[in-house]
Amino acid sequence: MNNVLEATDQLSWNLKKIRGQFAILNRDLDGRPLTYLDNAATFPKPKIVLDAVREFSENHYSNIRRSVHRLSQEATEAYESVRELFAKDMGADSASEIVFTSGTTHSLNILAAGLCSQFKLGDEILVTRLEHHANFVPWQQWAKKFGLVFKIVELNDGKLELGAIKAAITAKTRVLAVGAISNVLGSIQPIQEISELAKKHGIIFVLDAAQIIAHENFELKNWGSPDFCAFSGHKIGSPNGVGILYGRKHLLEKIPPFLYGGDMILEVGDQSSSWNELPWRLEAGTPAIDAVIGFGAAWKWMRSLPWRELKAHQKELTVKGIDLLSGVPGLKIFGPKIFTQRTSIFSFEVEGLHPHDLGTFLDTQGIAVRAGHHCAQPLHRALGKVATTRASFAFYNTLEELQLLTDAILEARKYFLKKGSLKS
Amino acid sequence: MGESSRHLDSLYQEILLDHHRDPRNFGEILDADCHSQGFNPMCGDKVEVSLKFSPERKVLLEGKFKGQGCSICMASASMMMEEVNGKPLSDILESVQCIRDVMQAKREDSALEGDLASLAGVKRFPVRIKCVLLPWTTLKAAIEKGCTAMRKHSIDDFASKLGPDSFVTEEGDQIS
Repeated sequence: MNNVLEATDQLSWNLKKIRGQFAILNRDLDGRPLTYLDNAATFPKPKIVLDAVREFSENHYSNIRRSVHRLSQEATEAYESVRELFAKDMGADSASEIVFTSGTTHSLNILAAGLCSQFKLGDEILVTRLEHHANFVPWQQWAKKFGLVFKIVELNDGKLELGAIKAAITAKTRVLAVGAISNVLGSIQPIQEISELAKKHGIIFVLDAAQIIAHENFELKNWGSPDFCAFSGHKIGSPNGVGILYGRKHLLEKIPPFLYGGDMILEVGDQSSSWNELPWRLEAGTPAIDAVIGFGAAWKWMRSLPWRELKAHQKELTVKGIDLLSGVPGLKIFGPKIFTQRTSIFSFEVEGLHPHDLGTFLDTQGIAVRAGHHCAQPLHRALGKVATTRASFAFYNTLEELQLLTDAILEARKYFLKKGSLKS
Repeated sequence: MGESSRHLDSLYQEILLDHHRDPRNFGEILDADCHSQGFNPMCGDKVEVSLKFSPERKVLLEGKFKGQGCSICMASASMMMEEVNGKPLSDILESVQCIRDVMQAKREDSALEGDLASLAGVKRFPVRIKCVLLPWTTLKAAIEKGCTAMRKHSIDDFASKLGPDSFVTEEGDQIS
């Protein structure tokens, strides 16, 4: 008994410390504190990240790889050391496999454009019904441009099954692009098996890791050692406008430049140019230098957190989340109900209550959720819903906040029932 | 009751919720002169408008809407159809401009009369202004489509009389 209590005390002490990093949680909304449950959209900015950006900007800021002066050298070192950090922590073979981009969307556009341009007419690109628009539209559009076939693996009762992927693979399949965690359903896909399947068929496996990095310490080997992978810094509280494209060296080398301009060149002639080596070949123009510094700080901070405890806490949030929310009359959670198959991202509908109306009501209670299609219209079509309400809990959210949400949804029902716009 | 609850009541007024519960002119005109579909990419809400004009296309004889949306969007569409049915097109376009202006605080709330006055409360919730305006912008697009189609129709007649030396572009601009 004592052990349990101590563990709980320890957790609440740690959570308090972690939450202390987010000044925005002190924001007063009509006399209520902010309850931020929109973490899957974007993560609050920790103080440690803001401080790092400020320290860098005030003491070392300069353009990188361009000048001989001391500041430029320092800025270049700081920027490249973040690349080294990612390569080491993710388990890449070398830092040249890490390309800084403006985010997941940018990363996947570089990839889709670069890969699709090299396949033969009629070759096939495979994605799934679960994908975020960022891992859907670029493939759809670049495939069309180069005369490729864009195929979608359908779900079975909202679930992505290995058998369905197997059945969709043909001798012409060149790329399989899958999001690890659905940003709508919160479901975790069997990436290890999917990756093995792709490898067995000689298919390039692309992992959209956008939703993983706020849930654990991301390592490539734990997620099927993909050929390529993409994610955004702002999902763990880095400044906006920065992300990563990882690629195995021999494959990344085949990706032509997506943007042309400064810093990506070797030699510029009047009528033709040659390109710099990786990774700079894919980083045209002055990059988001300070954002990369902040991204490094966010990444380091995340990796310093007590994950064993936080994992247990996430499990509790997920299990109790399903339990409490399912108890609300008329509320239906989409996605798996078993905690091992999901994260604490909950999309749901409340019968008779449009997500926008519910979202506005919750907002008046200081609770921030997302209402809409969450950049996943193909999935919503399959669910037969135009929009859903999504509460995405992160590791720093508390059980009290879960209770607040549940109570507020009950209140919303009462409010709209009383107003007569909801039938009991 | 806190500040925010009072705002909530100003948003969800009784008249507005009545239109949501019991939408007027809901449906589709099968032999409509024109249709238009409006889409709110933020939430996926959809409004479809079908219109029937007087023969010279100066007056809206009948308009109906259907679609999926939140209470604000559906109520706004219902009030809109009630407001514009039987009105000259020029008046309708003025009404569309008026409600836009009120939402953007360019005109006083009092410019909205009758049931429409209940929409003014939405101004306090800027993210919901799109919900109000979606049916109206869809209506405007439908009217413009209907009028362009008619202009093109009459120019086509005109062009056929002119003979093969002149032709008409898709937009209806005559080129000779």
